Amino acid sequence: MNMWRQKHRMTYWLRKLFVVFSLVASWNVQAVLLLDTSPSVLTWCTSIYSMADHFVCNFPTDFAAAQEAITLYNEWNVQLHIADPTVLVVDYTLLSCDGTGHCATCATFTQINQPTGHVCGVILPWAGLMSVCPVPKSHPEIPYIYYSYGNDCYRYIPDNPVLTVTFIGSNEVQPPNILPFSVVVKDQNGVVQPGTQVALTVDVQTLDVQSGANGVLNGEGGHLHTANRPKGGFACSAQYAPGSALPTCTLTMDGNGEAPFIFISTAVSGAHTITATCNNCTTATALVNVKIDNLITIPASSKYALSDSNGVIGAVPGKHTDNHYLASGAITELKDLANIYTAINPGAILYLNDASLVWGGLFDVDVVNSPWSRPHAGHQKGTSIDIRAANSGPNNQGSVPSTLFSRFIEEATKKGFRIGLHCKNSSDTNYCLSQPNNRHFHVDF
Amino acid sequence: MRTFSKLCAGIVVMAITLYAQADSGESIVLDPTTGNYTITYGGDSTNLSQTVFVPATKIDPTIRSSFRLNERDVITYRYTVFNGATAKQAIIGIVLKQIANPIIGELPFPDGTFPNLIVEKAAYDAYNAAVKTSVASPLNWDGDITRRLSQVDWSPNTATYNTGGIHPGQTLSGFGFNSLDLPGISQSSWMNGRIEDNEIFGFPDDGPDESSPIFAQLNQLRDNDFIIRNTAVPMIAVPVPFDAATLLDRIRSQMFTWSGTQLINSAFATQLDRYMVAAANAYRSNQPKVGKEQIESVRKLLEHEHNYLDHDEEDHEDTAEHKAATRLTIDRLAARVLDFDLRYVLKRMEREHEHDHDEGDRRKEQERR
Repeated sequence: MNMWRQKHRMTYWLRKLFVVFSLVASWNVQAVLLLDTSPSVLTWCTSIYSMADHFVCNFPTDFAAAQEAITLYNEWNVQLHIADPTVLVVDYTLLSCDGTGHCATCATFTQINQPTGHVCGVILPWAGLMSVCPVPKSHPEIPYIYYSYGNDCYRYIPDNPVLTVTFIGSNEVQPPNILPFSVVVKDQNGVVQPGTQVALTVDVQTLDVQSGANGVLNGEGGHLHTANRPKGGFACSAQYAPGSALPTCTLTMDGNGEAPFIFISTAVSGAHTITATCNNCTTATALVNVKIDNLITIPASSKYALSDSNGVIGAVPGKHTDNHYLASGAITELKDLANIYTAINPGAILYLNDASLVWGGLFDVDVVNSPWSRPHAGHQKGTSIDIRAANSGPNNQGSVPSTLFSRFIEEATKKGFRIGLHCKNSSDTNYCLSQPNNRHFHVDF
Repeated sequence: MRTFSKLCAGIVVMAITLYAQADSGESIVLDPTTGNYTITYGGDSTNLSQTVFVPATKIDPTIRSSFRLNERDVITYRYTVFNGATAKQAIIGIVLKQIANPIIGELPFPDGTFPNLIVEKAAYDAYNAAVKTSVASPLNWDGDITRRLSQVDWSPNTATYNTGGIHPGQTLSGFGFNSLDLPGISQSSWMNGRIEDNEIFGFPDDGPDESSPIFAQLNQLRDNDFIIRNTAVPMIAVPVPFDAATLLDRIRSQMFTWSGTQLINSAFATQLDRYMVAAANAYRSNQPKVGKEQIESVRKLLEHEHNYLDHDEEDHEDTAEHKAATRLTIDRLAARVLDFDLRYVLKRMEREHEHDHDEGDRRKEQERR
């Protein structure tokens, strides 16, 4: 070990002077240089074998410690081998080389009647003095230099600030609505950065934020069709005029290093990611959930049906299959409504069609022709539901017979429900009675 | 009162009639000939859609309230409903509101609560059976209690629903129930008329968008699709153990809910209230005679305004001249209710006094022995 260090002492000093001179020469003489140090890989070696053309550093046999150390040295890739205690084996298994002369390998050294050991070594050619130092993540163009006396690595880097952008604001908004935000830019010492320009973009979040029933990803707001989901937009200040949403923003930080903006959600629920970027900044993101909170899946009951012989009532595969969500108060009232129907039609139960999606919001029933538009009227907040009424279509199982339409409406109205008939694709204004295609009761709780 | 409620309804109607969004073409327009509303709105297509809303307010209802105290301190409430001859619809819904406490015969669940939400069939059937015994209904009518809404309501039963009801020109009695609570005046009880099958409200599509102003306007129209009539219903709980001062305070509070409406003139209410405060203070100071005098003063003032207030079972109408003279001071129903409540206080105090007297005699007899 000492011989190895002595051999490179002169080289160390020459290199140090060279780096300092290079840095001063390449920048303004008034540029500030910061000393940046890092422990060398040799500090974790339990032992080092010096060979003719290389040396081997034995890593700690504590796997957890080795993993932790590896995080500091992103260019190393290390594995541990389990030794075979009965065999004297010398097995060098090359794992990876990073192309700069650094290779990681694991070798199994075992001696009979000796404790089992496993070791991973780094084969380091003599020529690579800097190879015992990590490759820096910031300013990678300035490598570390090994300082054998301190057994550490050092370099000088310019004192450029590393800026961070921080979002300030809530992460949830009801659709459609506005959500005020601000961004703050500070350097690594916490000093605000007035005048910095920050660019904002927004995109839909495609990751699963919270899984719902039937495999539905709540991050998509309960929509299984995801193409072209509306992203929402911005107002690039603290003021918003309806209809003026912008797809992006470029904000200039004020004297406090801060700038306000507003996220404008559409009527479609789902998760969104707002991204902020600027020069010398680490990119920041904010996750915003556009949702009606606390909607609950309608529980099973003997008083009503959520499915028929064809499956979930109202489910459209690939579009919306999880359509029975209501606010908790509405669920309570739903059971009252079910009792009302049972009283006027003993033995029968209500067959429940669309309520709301898991996060509420726009429920686009005409996904084929007009996705993300033409919502179910009133199905956005978990306070509405459709109920099967006798109709001319194929879905009639359990529907309320037409002879009971008036009675059902009157009894429900007396109990404070707002209920009426809806039908579809009808030019008939005669209350859906002569054009009963897709006729159903629509109830507002 | 009828004129006032019509005026209010008219104002709402006018406000809705005049509503129109010039740029979108959406509107709600009243047809004065039919009394129906034509709603024009942005539907599913790019064109405007239309539908017609037939209100259930083409009735001319009058409800007469009677309330009678029996020997067990139970008050029997009975109602008679009349539909004016000029009405266009039969009355098929009668809803009495603000009945906060259980009525006699209304059974609680085993845990002591009252059902707002019934999920078990056995409990539901038992509840329905209890309702039938606690709510009196005329032949072919069904009564129901909805505790969640503090209401008792009636409608024709299933067998006669399509043809029954109180037709124009008809009168029907026999609605009612019993209660331990004293009457107050419910200013939100209502009635509605039957919509024929071809008048059932609906949209030929999914209706207007939730964010449309038409949506909100239409909901307001539908949520007020009835005629309100002031009705005497059990509203004032009698304190147990009995306390005249507390009960008088509750009666005063009820009276002040009438102030500012057509039920009582504010100045007259203040005048009555002075005597009632004095009565309550007298009872608190154990001066029942003074309390009684103050209450009788109130009753005299009421009697000056309306005759035969103490005829609880029937509403003896004032003469037309008397009505004209007193309509701005206190409504006849309000006067009857107030007089009844005050007589109740006097009767209970008299009974309490007799009870104390009997107790005193008993103690003296025991001491003598």
